[in-house]
Amino acid sequence: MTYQHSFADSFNREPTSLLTVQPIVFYNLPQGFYLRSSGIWNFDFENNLGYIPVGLGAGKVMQMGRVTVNAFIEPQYTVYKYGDQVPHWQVFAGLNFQF
Amino acid sequence: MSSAIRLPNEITRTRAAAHGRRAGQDSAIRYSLAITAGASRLPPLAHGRPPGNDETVCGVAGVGIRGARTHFRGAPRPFPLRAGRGTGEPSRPRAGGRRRLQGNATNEANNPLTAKITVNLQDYYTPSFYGPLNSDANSLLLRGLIPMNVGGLPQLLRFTLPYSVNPSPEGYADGLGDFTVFDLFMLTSRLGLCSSRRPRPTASPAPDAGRLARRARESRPCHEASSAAS
Repeated sequence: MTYQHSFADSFNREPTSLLTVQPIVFYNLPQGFYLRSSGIWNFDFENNLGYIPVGLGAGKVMQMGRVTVNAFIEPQYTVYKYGDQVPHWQVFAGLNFQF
Repeated sequence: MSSAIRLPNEITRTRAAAHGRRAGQDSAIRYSLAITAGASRLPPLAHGRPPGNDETVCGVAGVGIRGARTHFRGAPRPFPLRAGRGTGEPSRPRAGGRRRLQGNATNEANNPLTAKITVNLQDYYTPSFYGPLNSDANSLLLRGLIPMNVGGLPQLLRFTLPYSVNPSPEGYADGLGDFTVFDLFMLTSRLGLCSSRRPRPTASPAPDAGRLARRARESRPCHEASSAAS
């Protein structure tokens, strides 16, 4: 959960008041595979908009020498929103390297 | 028509993931303060010391500053806090523990509180939006984590640098987004904010061994049992 509020805007940037909540669930599978869900709920108080995406994706953790590589992809669908122009679908993908 | 022009700008204002760009806007600076809190079932500091067998519920708190001198004014993608599944076991290989080791390695790789130097290359692609706008958008995120120990206090320094492509009245606008830095303080058990749970029940030969030992004691003659008790 993160709340962000601007405190030193330059005059041509609008203020920010944003609350985000990110519940995350991982479910481990054999051989380094896992299922994941990590949609970030956004509540923008400045513009009175918000949306709640729900994701379901998969990933794999691999050991390459001393580096742990984590690759994943997770489509996310917005199940609740207020206001327009918020993401309908999103695809979250990543490649993480842990040393 | 005016709404058609305004729509992309609204996206840039409201879409936290996209780091939007206002049409015609030059560089702008914004500093914002972000506070974050979360909890994880995984021990936060597995690096350098084995966490033992206890499951640990730990909190984390952080303060971040987002400062940018970029073309974008959209809100940066928020700091991720994730709670994962874990057994809290050491990550060293153990005989007969192959499957558990794999699960633990996966947990450690997925836990953003794992105190290891981490570099993430992540991407959010938005193929469609709600509303009349028929466009897509993309944000490429370079993230990193650097564990630190300042004055005996373990901390995690996280940063995010986005590169976004967003719809604009001219089609698309792209560029670097707000650079975000977070300093996370770990709420450890020393502060009374971290509670340990009893170890998760595991399938081990220990119960059977205990039962066998109890049976052996019960089957022993009385004088042996009494001497053993003394």
